[in-house]
Amino acid sequence: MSDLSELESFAIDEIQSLDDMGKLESLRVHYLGKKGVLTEQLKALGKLPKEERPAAGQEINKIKVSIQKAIEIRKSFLQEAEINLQLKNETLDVSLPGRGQDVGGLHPITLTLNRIQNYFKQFGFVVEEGPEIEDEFHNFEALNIPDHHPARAMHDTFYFEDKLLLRTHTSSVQIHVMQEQKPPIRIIAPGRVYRCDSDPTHSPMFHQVEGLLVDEQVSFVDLKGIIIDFLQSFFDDEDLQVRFRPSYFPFTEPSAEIDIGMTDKQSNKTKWLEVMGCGMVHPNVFSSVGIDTDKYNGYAFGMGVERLAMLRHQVNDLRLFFENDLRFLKQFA
Amino acid sequence: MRVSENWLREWVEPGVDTQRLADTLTMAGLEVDGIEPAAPKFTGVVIAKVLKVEAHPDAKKLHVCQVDDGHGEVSNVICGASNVREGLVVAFAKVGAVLPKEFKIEPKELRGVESFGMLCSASELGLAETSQGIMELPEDANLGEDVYTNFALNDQVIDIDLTPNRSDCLSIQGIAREVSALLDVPLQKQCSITDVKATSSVVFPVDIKAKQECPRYLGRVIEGVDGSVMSPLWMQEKLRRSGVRSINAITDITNYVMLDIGQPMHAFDLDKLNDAIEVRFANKAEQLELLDGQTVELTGDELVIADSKQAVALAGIMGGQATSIQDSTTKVFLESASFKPEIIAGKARRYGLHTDSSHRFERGVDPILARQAIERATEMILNIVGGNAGSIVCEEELTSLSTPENIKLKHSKVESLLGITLSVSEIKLLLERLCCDVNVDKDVLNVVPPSYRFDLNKDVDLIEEVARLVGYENIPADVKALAINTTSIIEEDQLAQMKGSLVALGYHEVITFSFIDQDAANLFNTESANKALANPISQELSVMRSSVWPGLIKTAQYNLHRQQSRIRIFEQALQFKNTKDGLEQLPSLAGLIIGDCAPEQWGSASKKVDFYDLKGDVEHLLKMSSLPFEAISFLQAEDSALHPGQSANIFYDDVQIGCLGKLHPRLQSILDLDPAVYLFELQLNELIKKPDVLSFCALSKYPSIRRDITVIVDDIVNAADIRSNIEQMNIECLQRVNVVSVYKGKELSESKKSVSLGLILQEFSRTLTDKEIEQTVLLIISQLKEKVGAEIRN
Repeated sequence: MSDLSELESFAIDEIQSLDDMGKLESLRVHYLGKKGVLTEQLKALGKLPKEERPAAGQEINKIKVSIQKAIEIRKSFLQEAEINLQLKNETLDVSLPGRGQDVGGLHPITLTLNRIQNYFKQFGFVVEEGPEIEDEFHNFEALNIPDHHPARAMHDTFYFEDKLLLRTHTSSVQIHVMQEQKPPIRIIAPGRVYRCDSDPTHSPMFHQVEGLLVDEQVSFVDLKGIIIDFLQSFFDDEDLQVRFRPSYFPFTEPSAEIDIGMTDKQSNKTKWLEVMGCGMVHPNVFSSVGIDTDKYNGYAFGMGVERLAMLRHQVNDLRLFFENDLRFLKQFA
Repeated sequence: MRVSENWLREWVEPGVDTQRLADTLTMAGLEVDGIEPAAPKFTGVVIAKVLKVEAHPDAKKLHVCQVDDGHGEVSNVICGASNVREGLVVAFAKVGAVLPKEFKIEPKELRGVESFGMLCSASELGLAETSQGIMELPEDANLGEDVYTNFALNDQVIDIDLTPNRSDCLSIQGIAREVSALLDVPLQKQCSITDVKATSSVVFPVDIKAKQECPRYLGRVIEGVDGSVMSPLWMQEKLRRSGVRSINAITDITNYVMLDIGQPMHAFDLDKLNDAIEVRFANKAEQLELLDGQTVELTGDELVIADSKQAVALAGIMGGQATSIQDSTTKVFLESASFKPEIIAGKARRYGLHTDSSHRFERGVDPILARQAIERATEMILNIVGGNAGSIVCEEELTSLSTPENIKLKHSKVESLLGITLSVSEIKLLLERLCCDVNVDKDVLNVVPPSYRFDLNKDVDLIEEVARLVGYENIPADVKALAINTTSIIEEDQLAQMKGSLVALGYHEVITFSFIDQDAANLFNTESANKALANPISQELSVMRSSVWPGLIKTAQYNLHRQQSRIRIFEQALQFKNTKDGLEQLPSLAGLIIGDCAPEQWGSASKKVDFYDLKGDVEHLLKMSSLPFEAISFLQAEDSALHPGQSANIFYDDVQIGCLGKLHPRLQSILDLDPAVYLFELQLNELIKKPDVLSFCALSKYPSIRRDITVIVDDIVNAADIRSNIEQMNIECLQRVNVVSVYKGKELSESKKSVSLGLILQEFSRTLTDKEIEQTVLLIISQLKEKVGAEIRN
């Protein structure tokens, strides 16, 4: 018996001292294999007197289980150690940058246009686009700006030799839409517009968004409602002060210019900044596209996208938008 | 329009301060752009007289003057102005005076002579931007009086940005009428006619040939005037504050009357006029030297004032040099006329002119004013310059004069358009404040606007007036009424998704001008001439681009010059193409890449972009488009702007939907671009269509099998040829053909390449047998042998 317990303690010591999976496996075979030490012991049981066999058998089995367990424990210990080593060896500097493309970005004007469009889409306004090279009818005449109207002089129009012109406002899209669609109409028309004017605060090309709603029973109250709500949403400021001031556009009557109030932090005075124009669609405009003015009326509004983008993103120079300096563009990515 | 507040308050006293007055005007649509003092504050400057002028003993240009301050105190003053002379009445800054910009006058020694004070120029007092010499005050000015007080400089100039419909406000009288209506206070004075009695029998005949265009013309001769007389200080000051230069008393008076009541006038030197005044259209190529010195050649559609021989003024715009008032003028012919806006409009601009007169006539001048103005001006000329006035000659065509018409205004329309409640009597009162004549007939108001309100023609015009007087700020705002009635779902915006993809692929969106340099345009367009602007801002921005590439390339150059070596940009814009079907404006999406494939990275070798990087990005976009990708083909292109061996046109069926490639080395060199440039441009009209509703195809339950084959073909055989030849076979179980690798190398002859293909085979309803697979592969090989001369590689 003492042989067995010696064997057990020797085997377990040996198991615990092994650092190699292969050797552990050989040891397992040595003790527990078909021709292993303990298997041999079990085979030798037959030589013992009958009455001693159960006890001896039990003892051998106990040792077998004990060695087995020790091997399992050592095995999982070694496996764990092996994984730990692998993990250690495979550990990276996770602070190093990853592979692949940088993300680019949309132009701040597009971001602003998207913001404007997303607001109006919620109210069922559909985005419409029109040509940038226009005729005088769509850009002027149908908008109640006849030839020699003083308002034409204010538009600084780019002309082509064939009397075509670059649209001076996206209001021309109104006319295309009303020629093609029947009321009720809700559209916004974003796009490039052109004026023959270039200095630090004027670009010969810039962007506008025109809005038009034609329906029955539309009033100035509704117009004020949507514009104020839009501007407060656009600037994320539900307390934004919005002021409507009478003005003149040939294609709306009554007409208004819209200012937003910016409080000067030093003087605490409100400074008013003009951001949009709007009004109730002039009956002459409806007549030019054959919409019944007894049944329908509507409102129209227009805004300069650069101006809104400059205010929202504190861009202080209009020209930055068209220089396309990547260092500028990346700030909006 | 610059308005002196003091002058305005002569007409109307609204009982509010300057700021409140300005706010009221702004909120009524007469936008105040600015308020500035009539002059900067100064003290201690008096009206004085130069008694004696002697040369400075030690300085050539200086004078030593004895100046009487008007109270008998004589000071020694050194003055450098060349116009200083004995007897001159001057603005004298005494010792202790403080001039604008805190300039203090102290006793001073100049080259050994003491000076006590300074004789001031207009600019030194802040009354002019620049001035030559010291101010010369009229001889009868009140000696000893404080200049600041005497000039009534405690005044504000209110700058009003008038909209073109409000020509009635282009005078102090007009603004006063508006203030009166807005604040509901009466005018202090009315513009009435005091007839000047004729004391001379001289008349000069007037003949209007163009009665439609000039429905009223009043003329009058004043004899015995002195053209050299200067206008009094108070008038010069009022003109200055209105931004009008003082010239001589007679011209100043005509300008003064225009500013005061709104009627542009003109004064001719009668001795220079021949026989009679004619108002007629210009003769073709008729020449006229204008007051500003330019000689214009007229085209024939301009209205001119002429005498029996030639044109003497461009009607309503500017007088002629030859007949202008000079110092030697002794007889004046005064003109006060009505011209139709349509005949004046645009003519001034044609000759680069914009005068106070044309500005008013283009917008409309109340025809009633012509007589009031000529009487006012005559009276003032007689008072200031003297002389004897003849009687007025008045030619007019009453039927051509516009007279206000009755406008029917429905009560219900006021309320429905504005969305507020107002009674008929309230509306009537508001309109009457604007001097409209209002008669109520049940629910309809019959309104006749005053003669000066050319902008009131329709009921909506009156509704705007009502809203203005109510105050836009007093009309409520309501967003709830905007019920949504939609029958469509907002689809995901395909273009936005494609742009989003480009962003994910590292592209930055740019926005460049639609007009470009002609030379740059020519590099990219050899088909037809670019559409050219008639009035470009500059040569660099003179033609409409037919491709977005020049803008992208310019942007790349700009950024390369700013140390950006890796550029990935795109732009969505219109191409403007002159085609045989006329002008086309085609939306396109274009991109450019330069430099490394990816940002510099510690663990990857850097690699410059090549054709296939660009193509990968373009394929990405095409897969996002509405078009089935399988039907898109890339064919070798012959675009002159691109490298012929590294460019392709992209087709969907027979329609070209875009192109891509490497910039031609020749252009690269012309454009002075160091790195290789890769470009693409896609036609959005073809790419983005309302998508078909996608229908589901059942998935096969059986495994797919892959077989790879490698064929050797001539180098000129391209991948698309191999693929299309396989596709032509219409093998049902062939799901896909992948090009796995393309190899050229020493084991192959120089004109050959090997292409490995991965064939993906699958039957929908069963597993393919080995035999079937074998047969299919053999079929494909024999097809390739036959069609593209392929050999099978062992």
